Amino acid sequence: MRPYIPLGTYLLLMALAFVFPQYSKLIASIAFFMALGQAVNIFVGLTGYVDFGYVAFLAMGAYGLGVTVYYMTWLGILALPLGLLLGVSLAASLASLVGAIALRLRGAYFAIATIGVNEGVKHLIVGANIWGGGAGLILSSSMFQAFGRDTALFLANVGSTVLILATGLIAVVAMYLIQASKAGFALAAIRQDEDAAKVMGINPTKYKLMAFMTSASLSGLLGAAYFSLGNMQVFPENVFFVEYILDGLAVMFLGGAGTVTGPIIGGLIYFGVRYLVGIYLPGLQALVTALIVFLVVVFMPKGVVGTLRELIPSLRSWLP
Amino acid sequence: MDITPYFLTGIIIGSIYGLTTLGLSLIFGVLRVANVAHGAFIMIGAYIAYTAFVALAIPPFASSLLAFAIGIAAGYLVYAGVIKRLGKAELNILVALFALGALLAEVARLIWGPDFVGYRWTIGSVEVAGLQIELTKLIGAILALMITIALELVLRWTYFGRAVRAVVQDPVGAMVVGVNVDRVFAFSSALGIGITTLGGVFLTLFIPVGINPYMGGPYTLMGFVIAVMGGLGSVAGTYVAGLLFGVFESVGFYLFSLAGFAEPSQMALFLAFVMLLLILLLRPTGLFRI
Amino acid sequence: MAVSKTLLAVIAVVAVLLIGVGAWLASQPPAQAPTTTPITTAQPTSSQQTSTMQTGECPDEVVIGTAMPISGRYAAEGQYSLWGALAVVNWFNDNGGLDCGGKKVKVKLIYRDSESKLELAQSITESLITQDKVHFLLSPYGSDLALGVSPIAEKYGVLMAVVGAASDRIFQQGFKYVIGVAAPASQYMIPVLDMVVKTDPTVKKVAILYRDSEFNRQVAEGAKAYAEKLGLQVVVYEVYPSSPKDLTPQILKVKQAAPDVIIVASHFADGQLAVQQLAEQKVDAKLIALSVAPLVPDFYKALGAKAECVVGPSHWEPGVKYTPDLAKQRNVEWFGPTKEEFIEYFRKIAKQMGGHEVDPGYHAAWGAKGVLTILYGVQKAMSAKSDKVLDALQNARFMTFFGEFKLDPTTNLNVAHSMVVIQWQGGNRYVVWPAVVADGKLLYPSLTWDEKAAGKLCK
Repeated sequence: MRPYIPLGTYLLLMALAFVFPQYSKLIASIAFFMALGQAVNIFVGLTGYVDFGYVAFLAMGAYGLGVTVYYMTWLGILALPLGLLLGVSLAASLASLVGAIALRLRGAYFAIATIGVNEGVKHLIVGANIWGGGAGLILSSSMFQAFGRDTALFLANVGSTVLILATGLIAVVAMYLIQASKAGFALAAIRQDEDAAKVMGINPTKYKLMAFMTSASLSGLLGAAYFSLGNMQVFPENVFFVEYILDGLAVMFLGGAGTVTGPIIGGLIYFGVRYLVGIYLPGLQALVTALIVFLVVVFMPKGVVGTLRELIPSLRSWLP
Repeated sequence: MDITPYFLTGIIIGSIYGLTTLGLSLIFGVLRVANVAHGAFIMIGAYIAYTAFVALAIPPFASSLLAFAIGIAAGYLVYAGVIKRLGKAELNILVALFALGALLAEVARLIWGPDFVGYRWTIGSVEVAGLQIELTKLIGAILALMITIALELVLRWTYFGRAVRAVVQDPVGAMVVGVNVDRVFAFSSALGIGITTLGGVFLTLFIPVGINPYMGGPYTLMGFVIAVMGGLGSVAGTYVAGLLFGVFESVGFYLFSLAGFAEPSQMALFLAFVMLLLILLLRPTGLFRI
Repeated sequence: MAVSKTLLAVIAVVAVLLIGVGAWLASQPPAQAPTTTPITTAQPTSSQQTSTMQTGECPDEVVIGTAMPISGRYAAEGQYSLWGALAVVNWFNDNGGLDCGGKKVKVKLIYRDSESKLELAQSITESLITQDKVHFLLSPYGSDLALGVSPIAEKYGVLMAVVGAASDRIFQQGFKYVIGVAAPASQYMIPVLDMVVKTDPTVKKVAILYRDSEFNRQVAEGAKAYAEKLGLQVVVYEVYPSSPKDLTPQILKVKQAAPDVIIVASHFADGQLAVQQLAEQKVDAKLIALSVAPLVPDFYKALGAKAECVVGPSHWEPGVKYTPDLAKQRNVEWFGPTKEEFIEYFRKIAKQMGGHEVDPGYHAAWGAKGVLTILYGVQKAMSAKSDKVLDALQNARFMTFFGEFKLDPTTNLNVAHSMVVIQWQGGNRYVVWPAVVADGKLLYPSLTWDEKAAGKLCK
């Protein structure tokens, strides 16, 4: 395995975000889909489980940073690292809770249980009016106060881009570490046949939970970087928007599920097409994107990277 | 005012919740596929009802047959073109159906435009316990019950129906005893999406306004909850779960409102999802195993 | 598949270092912001104006950009806002261009579909500024999208006129370059309530239902506060989900409270549903008012006679009478096309882009007002520099077919704009309040549902 292409891409994009800050939002948007696909890949690609309620982890991250900045503005610039930490911890805690309870369920039942978690948490936040309730948190003025006006704007525009890219980068490294360790083999065995793996003495719940929590923590970081820092707002209807998981799955499958390079290519296609069609054929990008995803998934089920790897075996080590 | 009208409201709207979920549950139970394009087919059904009524003056009861036929054709195509083709790649099917749903919504926008449309068909109403019930709703609710019963009878008494039930219970066993699983899958997919578009037409009897290309999303989400509550693949169970969900929403609102919560409808939904989790953990086969 | 542990360790260290450096860099203010219009502290207004008067910095073409959503969940509203903006742009260009210090300059609107998605709205907005070098921005429709692109406009110091986004909270964030051109959400129901108490001082009880979203929440909160200020009693104040399937439970609660006035802070689909189900349950009131939904022809097409007598607040209606004569009377300057010209240009755009002619509604006029405000500022400042235009607008007072404009310097909101109230009467909507711009007369109290079902029209 040669990890240069995935790692290099993120590092390159990071450098570009600094050198050309005028492109930072474009890079951020592409990177958001890449990193989302990458984080989803760690759980879905490695375990074969689908989590429809995955968006709840993005939301936890967004709320973690959001409430820190909003309610503890006096922390100043310290609110940023503490908020990120809180966001990641919230996402990881929710994942451990959901995982411990729901990962016993198989396949479709697990997928639906997680919808219940996502919607349940959203309705609790809105219904019981916690963390800003249905009105959400608008962070711009708090961020101006906490970080200073220019720094806050810089953080929202360039800082969030770098953080999103860092999430993607960490996800790549995490994927390597898992796949290279005993856990990678255990997860492969579970994916093939969970019952057989159990007989072999592998504890499926332990490894699934590990992949789940890693994936969820990364999503928490992504949610904080994208929604709270980049958009300066946390609206429950946006951060719990179920379609983000479908976006993440589409990115993963466009590139190739279970591959490391896949989400990068997938993110590029998924967002790039939208962006270009939005310029040249305004009003048709949702149609064109849906069509491309549909055609790729049906006629090229291994995705772009997966298919390339099959056609040209020598590329395998370069496109992990 | 007492609780009765809230209860009746829940029953009425719940019967359409049940009807629109039957197809989702059938496809889930038989093919083990979560049809994330479910809402899009409901949307198509609603537009069929709207266009038939406004442009051609065909009442919804008649256009529902047309929608059923279109849905059956669409369901067969979805099976042959997507589900069968991708076979065991469960996740690919999921993403393909998601893309298909988005595609249908965009095509609908190009055909009917982005506006919110509706139609009017009033044939009177009756008053029961302080609640006005439109006759269209009443007839719709009765027909929903009859369709559920008919579907249950088909599954119980026809060869195909019994084959379907066998596949729901034990796919491998069914194959061993000579059931043509491929045809059962094709049949279920066609019937499932047919019922869903038909449900979309019936939905407009209950909610004749606000029809637009993106109306399907909430029905997919709610559909999953109801399908699980009822037991995936169980027709009668799904219908009863739909009724329960409707009652839960309406009576839950009333009770939380009495208790002084600021956002009672959100709290009712919160409890509904907590209930979903409990059912999944304690009784994953659904509340009713029929 | 053996991966060398050293390599992994190196990668991990590099990653951590990069994040560390990134975080440190990110916490620093930009050393040299490579922007076309660097953020400057406000200069004394007078000296600036005298200098522009002498030199005149009129560009050859004024370029406005927008990431308006014309597909996705805001497709309908975004489309009309865009067409309205284009109508004004075409009007100027057909008349030779904008008069800028005696020089006629063309106006160009660059628009790209943001698909009602924030990711697209942001990257498009950024590229409009950095690639297309637009001078000004129109916000995308929707408070969440408008709030999401505000930091970008602010960072590059590009003036953004907010159209189709009314949340008050946009204007409470301290954005310098983000200005409102119409009334914010909290004021939507004020003219309705004013109209009610002036028409019928005996009114006591008000019921308010609202949709669970940023905009609707503000409308409802504003309505509740103002009703209480007027001494009315708010007997029901209830939220419903953002895409409700059934509102009967909420409506039963309203029925039980027997209010004089029913206010629904709605959007499109849910507003239609609310009226439909109020009719089903025969909940009569002296007046039924909704936000947003009653302002489009689809409302009447969908509901028919049930829509009769329903009122709603609007930023603008085809029936509103702001004319150059009224401007003269009030001693303010008139700017831009007349109402008739706007309607004509809008119909042309609609025909060209949507396939059939439709009349403009308030979204369209709002989009138009955004362009008009920017262009008026350009004309006054004789410059397309955001800071100068902003300064010029701070001191401006003028009238367009949409109404008056005066910027409040602390909130950046247009405080001179008063909303109007429409009522559906016999299948048409008429402006019934305030009287000076009205083209119809309020029918009060509203017909009952039984009367409407019997075919009686609201006139």
